[in-house]
Amino acid sequence: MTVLGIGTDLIRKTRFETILTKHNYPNVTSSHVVRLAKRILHPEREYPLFLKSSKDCDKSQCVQLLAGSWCVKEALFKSLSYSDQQLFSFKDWFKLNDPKGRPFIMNQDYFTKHPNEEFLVSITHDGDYIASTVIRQQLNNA
Amino acid sequence: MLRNVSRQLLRSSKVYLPQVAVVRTQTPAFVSPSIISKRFNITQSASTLTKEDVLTRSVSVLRGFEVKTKDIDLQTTFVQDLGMDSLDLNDALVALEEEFDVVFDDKTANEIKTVGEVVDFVLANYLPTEQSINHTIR
Repeated sequence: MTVLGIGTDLIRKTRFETILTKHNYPNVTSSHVVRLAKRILHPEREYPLFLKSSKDCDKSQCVQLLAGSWCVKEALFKSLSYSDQQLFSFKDWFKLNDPKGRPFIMNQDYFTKHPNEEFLVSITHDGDYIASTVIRQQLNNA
Repeated sequence: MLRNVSRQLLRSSKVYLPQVAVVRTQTPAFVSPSIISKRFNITQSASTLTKEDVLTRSVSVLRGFEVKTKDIDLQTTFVQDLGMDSLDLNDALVALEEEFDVVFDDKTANEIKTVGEVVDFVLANYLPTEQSINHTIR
């Protein structure tokens, strides 16, 4: 195993709450918030959950989804090569949990292009703070 | 006498003609353009944007964020000059998308560093709304 890159990110959930509050979301429809959510969240794996939370007027859950996704993807971005960073799109990635609850991150196109790489993901929460660390490593030594 | 009486009666009697409804079409001498556009749902196309227009509107949008300086021009950088991090930048790009009805693709969003680059992108990608008449309204 060879470590190819590492990234970390720390975010306050309040920052996303402030954005939603500024646009009175989800009490009213906001194209700004929807655009931002679509920019960050995977369209099939993450955005539907956000949409459901919006319809349920669950602002806290909306914030949690945006902040958690953002944090992991920012950490991931920092672990990428410079050339892959130029091509990076938040919405191409989504976070999953394995049966034991351990998080991992997925982007089929990336793994098709880099079949010998894997990402190790760790996330932690403390009140308003979410932190994430991602290690990008090569599966087989070259 | 009867003839005189009858003539007097005819002179004094009021003749009531039946009321005839008359339909008239209104032809006002002058109708303001705003009334015409509302009545016929005409949307005028925006005039072509100038660089100055885009910069002015972009500055207005960016000043709505908590930035390090309100002194913003084409050379202003988002990170160094405005003190934005990646979340602020993405939020600002979304606001600019809303302002100009454009979409910053991922490659552009990853590479944008200055307000001038935003202005150039908007000028290259802005599409004014088409002039249209709603033909269902006559």
